[in-house]
Amino acid sequence: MSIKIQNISKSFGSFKALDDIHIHIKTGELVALLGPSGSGKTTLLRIIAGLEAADQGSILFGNEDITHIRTKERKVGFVFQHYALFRHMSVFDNVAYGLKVRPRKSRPSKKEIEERVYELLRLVKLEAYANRYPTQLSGGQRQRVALARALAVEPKVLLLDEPFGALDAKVRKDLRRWLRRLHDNFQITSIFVTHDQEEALDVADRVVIMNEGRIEQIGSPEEVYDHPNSPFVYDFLGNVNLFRGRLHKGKLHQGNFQIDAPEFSDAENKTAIGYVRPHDISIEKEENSKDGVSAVIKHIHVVGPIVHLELKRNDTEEYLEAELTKDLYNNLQLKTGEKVFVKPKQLRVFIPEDYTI
Amino acid sequence: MLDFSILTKNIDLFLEGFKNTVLASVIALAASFLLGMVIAVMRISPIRPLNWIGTAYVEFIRNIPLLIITFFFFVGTPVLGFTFSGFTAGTIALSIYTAAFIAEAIRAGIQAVPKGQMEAARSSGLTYNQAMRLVILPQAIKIVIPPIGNQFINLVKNSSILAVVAGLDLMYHADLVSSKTFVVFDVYIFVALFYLILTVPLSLGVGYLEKRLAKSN
Repeated sequence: MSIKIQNISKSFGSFKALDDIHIHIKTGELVALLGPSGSGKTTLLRIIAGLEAADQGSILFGNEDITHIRTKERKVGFVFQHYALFRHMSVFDNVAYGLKVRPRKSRPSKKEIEERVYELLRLVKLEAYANRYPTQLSGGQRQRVALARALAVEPKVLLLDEPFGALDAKVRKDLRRWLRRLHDNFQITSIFVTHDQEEALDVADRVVIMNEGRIEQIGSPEEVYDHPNSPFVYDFLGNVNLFRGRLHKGKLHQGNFQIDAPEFSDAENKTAIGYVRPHDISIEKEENSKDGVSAVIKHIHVVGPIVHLELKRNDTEEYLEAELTKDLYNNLQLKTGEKVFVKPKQLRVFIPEDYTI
Repeated sequence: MLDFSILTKNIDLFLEGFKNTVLASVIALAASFLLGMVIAVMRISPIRPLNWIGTAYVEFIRNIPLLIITFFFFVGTPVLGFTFSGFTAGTIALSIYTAAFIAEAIRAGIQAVPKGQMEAARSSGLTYNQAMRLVILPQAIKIVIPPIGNQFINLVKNSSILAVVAGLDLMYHADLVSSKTFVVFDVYIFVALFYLILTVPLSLGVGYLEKRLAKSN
């Protein structure tokens, strides 16, 4: 079931939560709504589910306009951030409930319901827990029950609101991989909300990056990571170093250091900021070229196979962050307090008149 | 020292009154609970007129004396063509009065159930009524047991209002005994003991239920 979101706006009092949102989601896609808190991502999800009404705009499932249809009739499965399991019911009943309460003519037989519930519990690996109550389960198990419950009603669309937000890092990682596999098996159109960029990039087919009620960028994880269209997206998707300088005829100048920015070949003496990811910074011990920036290593953190360096530039006294592989780090034999030369391998220039960060 | 002969000689009267107090309490208990539940659901209903009726009920009934409501059903309704016995009038008044307090307790309980429960129920395909009946109320009841227990204890004690309209309850019979024997002090001590026979087990029962429900959570 494809989803068309057309010029949706929503205000809470004077606060504009969503401002003219357009998204077209293809059948079977897994889309992440990514943004900082207050960006409107959860509000959008709740509007799609019918838990909240939009001030204007429309939502189509396939060709059917469901803007004014109630939650119950939308056939969506919704997974809540804090699970919202029915606390007075067993795991089995939680999953079975949506089917049990159907009007007689569309209700499956008792045996069919039981089969379906156990099938889902097998899928979420909780068959053995059918008779437990939600409070007797761990967070990860509860979230899996919530997922089974959402799938029980055979939804056309699966909506997940920060599904792994309340879980610890390890469980979160396992569950999101598992969600990906589940999605690949079921091929059900799914939208999930997250503020964790790593999660969004890891799981989704496409990422919708939102900020202050508007969409900043839509694209595949690779597109948005490699080609962010704004400083906001650049900054939000990972750590970033800023090189403030002057843009002139396709080059960004900063002190005696300069680097190519060919897309601005006709720029004349403009203030600009270059954005560089920590892993796009190369470190050299000798000054091999003119465009290296001299810096001192302040801290070294080794996190598994990756080494994070904190550096302080000798010219501007600004701090930089760099990431290298352990191998490279060992080859260079870097030490805290050592003087090195830093060079951006890849940078993206934005002119601050267009954007503010 | 208490004169127990007053109790033994008039035991028939005491027991008759005790029976009627129990009867009035049990009827009012059931009626006020059901009515209170309906009013509570109305008070939080998204349908405006129902909401208004629920709120008006609670604010009106809760803020007038039980005695006036009792008089209304005893001496007021005959003007409108309905005549009730003292027992009936008292029991109706007791139910209507207690329902207002129970409605408030249940409303608070319903609102203490996290909002996500209603949303989860709605997105699982339940109608509003189903969600309320099958998901919200069963959870609210647990929260609500202690305050409702208090209301039930109050109800048993308030049933003495029946005496004022010749409702044949414990208090009424106690008045009979004391005017017959001219003993005041002892009679009312015995009456107090009879009330304790009802209220203490009720109070212990509520405590027990509270503990059991806390465990099942």
